[in-house]
Parts: sequence; structure tokens; C-alpha cells
Amino acid sequence: MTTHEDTAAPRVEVGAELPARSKTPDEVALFLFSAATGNPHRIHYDRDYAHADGHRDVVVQGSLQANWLIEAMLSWAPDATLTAFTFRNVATAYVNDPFVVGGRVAEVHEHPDGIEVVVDLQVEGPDGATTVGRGTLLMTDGRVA
Amino acid sequence: MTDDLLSDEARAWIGMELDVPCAPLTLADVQRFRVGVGQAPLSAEEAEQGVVVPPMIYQTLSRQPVDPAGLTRDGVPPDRRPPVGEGRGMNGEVELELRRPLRLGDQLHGRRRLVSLEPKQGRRRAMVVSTWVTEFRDADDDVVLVETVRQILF
Repeated sequence: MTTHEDTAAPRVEVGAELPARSKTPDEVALFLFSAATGNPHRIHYDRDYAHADGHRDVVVQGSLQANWLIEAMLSWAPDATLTAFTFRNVATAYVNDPFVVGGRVAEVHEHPDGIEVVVDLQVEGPDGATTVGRGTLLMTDGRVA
Repeated sequence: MTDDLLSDEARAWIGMELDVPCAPLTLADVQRFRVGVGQAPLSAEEAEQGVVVPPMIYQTLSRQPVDPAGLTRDGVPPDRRPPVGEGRGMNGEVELELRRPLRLGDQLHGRRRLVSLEPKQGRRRAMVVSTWVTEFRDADDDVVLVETVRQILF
């Protein structure tokens, strides 16, 4: 017989790493995000304009990377509720570059409804971090997927 | 040097408040947003079982359609931006406090306030950090989400 403990996912601990997720956004991905968010900024689709603006290629939207960070958290803890989120674009991210989205549990607190987990997050491109963030999750069972 | 960027005209913007109207949140919005972030749209069966609304979709709901004739050379709508330096800006930091998950049918309305303009000397240039705080409320007037945006102006 399999007990619940045998199959249960591990509890959350400070220092636990979120599974890394790979992203390589192409021109279509950038277009679809701009279309979905009503963002007509040229640097996300007009290569000539991006070059003239000092970029080496069209630029991956900062908000798209923020969504990657949220996706990384909620894939790791699908039953959790996101209660706070901060992000900062720290370097330009370019189309067709490979990115790794990851995170690490920074804090775990008791909460009347479960536990509160603070996760430090980042999108890492070929030349280093492009977006960093921090999310707070409320987890009623304190376990991850 | 940094104070030169912050004119009296710009300082007069501090405390300014703006309405941020939002479109009602529909399943079609969620489907478009999922595709926009590289996820498959929900099947009819999945949608029936419950729709988890992506938190960042509020940015889409609060972005009103703009007459293309009014877009700037960058392709963006003219920003309500304090008159600082050359009129250029870049995103700094976005901070969200999510009081509850968004739900289909939510009709949000936002109120945005320019809380501060702070001159700073960066490594390469003088700049001003603007901080806008927007409270999004639902139809019951309960605060659902608070967004703080810091933008770098130069």
C-alpha cells in the first residue's frame, strides 16, 4: 500500500530551487505578446528601428519576462495564491536568445491560512540576468508540485 | 546637477491623479493573454472546470485603445509623463500587491497617483525616478490590486 507520505511532494524549505525553465522567444512570440497586451512599441518588432535606437536586435518585452517569472512560481506551486510580486528589468533581452527562468525560496513564514513563501526569481540570458523579481505565495498545504 | 532636471513645472505634477478605466475581464481576454505568453488556450472543457486568470492581465485591461494617428515615433501612445529632461524614459520597477485573484467578469477601475519625483545621479546620467501608485478596485469598490511603478526619466 502506498501511503500519502510516500507520494506527497516535498515541503517547502528555504534554499529550495524552482525547476529551471527554458525560453527562446522568437519574433512570433514577441508579436503575440504585443498583440495580446496592446503594446505597439516599435522596439519589439521593427528591427531597423531597434538598431537605430541602439539595440542589437528587437527587444523582448519586460512584462513578458515578468509573466515568465510568475509562470515559474505557479508551475512549481500550482495550488498557491500569488499575493505579491515585484519585478525589475535590469538588462535588455533580445529576440531568439536563450533564457533560463529560475528561482529560489528565500523565506518561509507561518500564516493563519497556511504558509507564506517568498521566492527570489530571475530571467538569465546569455550575458547575465535581464529581469529579477520576488514573489510571495500563500500555500494552504505547504507543498509543491 | 540632478536638480536641474526637476523643474517647478515637473514638481507641480506631484500629487496628480488620473482615472484608469478598465475593460471588463472576459474569457476571450484570458485566451488571448495565454497565447501571448506562449501558453495553449484553454479547451472548452478546461474553461468549464474553472479559469485561473493570469495576474498580469490587469495591464491589458487598463490599456485603452488609442488612435494610431496619435502614436509617437516610437509607436507608443503619448504618455502622461512629467516634463523631465529630454522627455525620455525607461521602466524601472513594478511592484504588485494582489489582494485577491482576478476573476472572469471583474470590472475594475483604477485611480493612479504620482506619489513622488526623486532626482538621482546614475552612473551615466542624471535622472529622475517617478513613482506612480495605482489602486484597482472592483465593482464593489474593494481594492483588488495595488500597482507601484517606478520609471526612470531623463
